[in-house]
Amino acid sequence: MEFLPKIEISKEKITQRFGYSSSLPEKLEKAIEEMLNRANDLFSPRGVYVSRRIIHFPEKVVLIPDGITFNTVMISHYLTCCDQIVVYLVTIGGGLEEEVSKLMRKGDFLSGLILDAIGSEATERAADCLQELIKRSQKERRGVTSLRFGPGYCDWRLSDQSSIFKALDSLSLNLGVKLTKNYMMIPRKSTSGIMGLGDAERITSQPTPCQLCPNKDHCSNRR
Amino acid sequence: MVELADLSQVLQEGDSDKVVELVQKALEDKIEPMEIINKGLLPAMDVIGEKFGREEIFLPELVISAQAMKAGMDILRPILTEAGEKPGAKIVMGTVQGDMHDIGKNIVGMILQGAGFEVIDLGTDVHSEKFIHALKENDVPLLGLSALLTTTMIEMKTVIDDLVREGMREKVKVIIGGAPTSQEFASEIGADGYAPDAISAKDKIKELLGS
Repeated sequence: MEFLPKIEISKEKITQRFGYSSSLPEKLEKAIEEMLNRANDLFSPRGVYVSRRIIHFPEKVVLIPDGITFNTVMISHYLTCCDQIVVYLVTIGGGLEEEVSKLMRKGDFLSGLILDAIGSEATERAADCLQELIKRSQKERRGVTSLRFGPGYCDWRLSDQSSIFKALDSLSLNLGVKLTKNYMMIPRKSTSGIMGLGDAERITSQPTPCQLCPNKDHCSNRR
Repeated sequence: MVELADLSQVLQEGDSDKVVELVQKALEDKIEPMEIINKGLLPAMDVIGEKFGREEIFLPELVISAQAMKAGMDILRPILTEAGEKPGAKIVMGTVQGDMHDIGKNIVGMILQGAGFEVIDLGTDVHSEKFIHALKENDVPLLGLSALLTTTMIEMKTVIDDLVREGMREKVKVIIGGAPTSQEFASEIGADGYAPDAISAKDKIKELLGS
């Protein structure tokens, strides 16, 4: 298991999440600052990953030697630039979301909303940190990591979370993340997925699923 | 004498303390609670709702004003109940079975409470039977269902099918919401309405209940 470095979340990142691009009302600015201070002791980012060779099919990616499949045409096509992928799982733990629930129960919806947004941001930044670690491990081989994708992205069904957890085997339990029968991760502030490993030139010249997606002009998650 | 326009203004500014102060002063001035709601609080939330719709303000500011609205309603509701007046209809709501997400649902609940509705929030991971029981027990005309996962939103159909089976469908309107849901999905499963955000939920519920 990788214990990831403490993450600094900026006020600007949180305000951007809510849609603000300019100045904030004073009350909101203070509330965000207060929650950022409180959040510091409420999460501990950590992650696990395995790397596997893959075989590409037009409609899926298959891990070798496990035979575990990820059913997604768009991401499978993108990953043809890689012959290996990393399957990863990251969490910031359950402390922050417990605090969000407490605030909501007390009727402090504003603080709860802000703290929840900080948790979501921290989870994404934790995944960035793990990707950075993996990237560094690839340097000697002149390799890089591709974009990250998880079940729920593009045409990849959420039910394939079970394949992610299967690939990680007992590592997910070591991390303290459970998958419910509806494919929800507990703690909720967790994120999972795959990223390709490979030659820098091949990966950067490969069109991303977003560039090829028919919904590209309307999708807020476009990268 | 308190001007209800001032109350409306402080509510739009999201100043809970001032809202509480002016509501109490208005009561001392013998202004009827329903007048305080209808001429002070609700018009302010309408302005806030319109600004939210035009993206002049975002969710946190909507929540700040809704919290101030709730603070005002918390003073007025017991007085109205004692006088036998009902500010709004009862609503049962919850996140469907298998889904533990609740942030959006909680905010919708708060906005609805602020608009005068009596909200019976059953929480998250709510089994269809529990929804049916709460609707029967409290004689409620509207059910709000929330789901945040593509794998759990199908539970909304289970609840609607159970309402039909129990012979309650004609009496209970159903509105749905949550990131993966849509008007198309609402029509597909036989829901009466779909709301993409908290303000739309309040407006749609008012429309469905004809209030």
